[in-house]
Amino acid sequence: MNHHHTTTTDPSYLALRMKAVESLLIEKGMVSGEAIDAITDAYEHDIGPLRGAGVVARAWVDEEYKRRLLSDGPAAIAELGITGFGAEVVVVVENTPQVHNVVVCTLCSCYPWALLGLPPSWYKTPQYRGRIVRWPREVLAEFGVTLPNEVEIRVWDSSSDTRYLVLPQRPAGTEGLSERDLAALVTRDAMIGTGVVARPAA
Amino acid sequence: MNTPIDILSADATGPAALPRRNGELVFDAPWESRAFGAAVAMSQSGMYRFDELRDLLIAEIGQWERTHCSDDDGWSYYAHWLTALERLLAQLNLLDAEEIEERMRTIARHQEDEHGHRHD
Amino acid sequence: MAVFPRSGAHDLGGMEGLGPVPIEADEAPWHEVWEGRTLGATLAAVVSGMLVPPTHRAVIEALHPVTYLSMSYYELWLYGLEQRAIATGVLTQEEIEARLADTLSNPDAPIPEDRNPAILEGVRGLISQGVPPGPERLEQPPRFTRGDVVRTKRIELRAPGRPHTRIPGYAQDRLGVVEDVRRPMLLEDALVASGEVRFEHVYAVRLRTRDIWPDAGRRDTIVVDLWESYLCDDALPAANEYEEQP
Repeated sequence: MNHHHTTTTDPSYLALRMKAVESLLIEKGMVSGEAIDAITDAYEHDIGPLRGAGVVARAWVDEEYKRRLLSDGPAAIAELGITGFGAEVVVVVENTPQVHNVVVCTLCSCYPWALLGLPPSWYKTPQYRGRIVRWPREVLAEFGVTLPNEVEIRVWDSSSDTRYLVLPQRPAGTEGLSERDLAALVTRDAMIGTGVVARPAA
Repeated sequence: MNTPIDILSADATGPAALPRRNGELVFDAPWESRAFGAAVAMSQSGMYRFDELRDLLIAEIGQWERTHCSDDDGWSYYAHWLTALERLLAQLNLLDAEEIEERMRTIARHQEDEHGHRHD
Repeated sequence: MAVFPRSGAHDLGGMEGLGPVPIEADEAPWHEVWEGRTLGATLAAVVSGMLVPPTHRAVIEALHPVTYLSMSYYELWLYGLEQRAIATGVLTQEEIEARLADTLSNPDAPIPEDRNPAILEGVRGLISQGVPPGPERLEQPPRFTRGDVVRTKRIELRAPGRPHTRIPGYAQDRLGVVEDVRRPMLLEDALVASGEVRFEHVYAVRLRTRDIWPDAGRRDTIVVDLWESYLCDDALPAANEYEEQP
């Protein structure tokens, strides 16, 4: 078993407790099994970081699109057919040689679901939420990211309905690549800010 | 100049006015009334004039107002009162900051003991 | 050591003693099936109109810090779902306990099949369209604009008057600069406190990390979204004075 939470409650007990609650809520007309299935299917299979990667790649190849993306996130991502829960109020923040952006929700786990799917477990941990605002360099180093001291690390704390997406820097050596090949380089962590997009292997 | 009635009537409306509701003094916690009582007793006994404390209190409050929103939840009149009192006692060489810190630590330990372990 | 008040067990920004981030590469959205079902049921309840207040966040945030930190993420969600159902009259504690006892003694009994096309459609809409954001503008224009120096307030939580807020403790009693003006948003503080539906302008406020934690990187910043009632323009230094501070 591979658990990264510190619960002292037996997971099989929780599974049965959830089953009890689900059955009651179905009887009260508050949920249905199908509705729950629709949600779990969507976030297990359909909605994930590929959406965000497509947005990043488009912004890399199309300067005008990038301008629209940075000034009106929801409209620009809707151009690519992306709408939905967790991206109604999305703001895209651009990494530059002077500023490296990284996103957190110190108070809970707010995250741009419609662009990246559900957040990774680490994003929701007290360790990440508590430390990234205060020790960003140490935390980024844990992710294998080191930045020169002259670079400003700007941490975006998602305390309102705004959901943030980081537009990572386009690596050198990608000049000839198609939009699709560019998208394939963009990792989820690069769009949170705990990663950078690596230069493709020669 | 140092009787309770002087203190109570001083600066009824200025920045250092004692908090009142319907004319009565308001204390939000026991420590506040103790701080008030201690300051009154000390000034009555002649340790200092009340206006010396009042001037320090006005300065404390002024410093707060220069660095906080006017409706900041952290505002505590008696916290300023206590700070002004400590400053005054230190100025008069009657008490110093280190002694206060040490006594606070002792009290905190004592309170922990009281709540954590009963002593009979 | 920088000490500031926290808004609750959940208000973790800057907390000491937390240790390294437990990173798993490429893990699934949840580890156990029940976790996915908890997420699904919580969202379905939004669609089917489970009442607020209390909100999901407010219920969880009221936990004692030790409890909060010892429960897993989805365990907190399940707790939130149960408590909201009880608080809004959908379920009772007794019903939950009775059904739980049944399920524990009969773990393989099937869950009732009860189709509900309205909820299914609502859930699909929620996933694909999201929640409509509030009004684009308010009668009163924004009080602040990009580039303004602002001061943040201390917002203390004293039940029952103020059970919820979205200004983190580290961001209170600070000076910052408005990075951007966001659209108006619902002030959940008021909703939780009294059921009031109130929209306020929201601002992305940039703080200097070293103002909060003096040993932070000289250039590092935090941008936090703050509702207008969390801000004031009292006792502000001039903009250039603020910029020139070491």
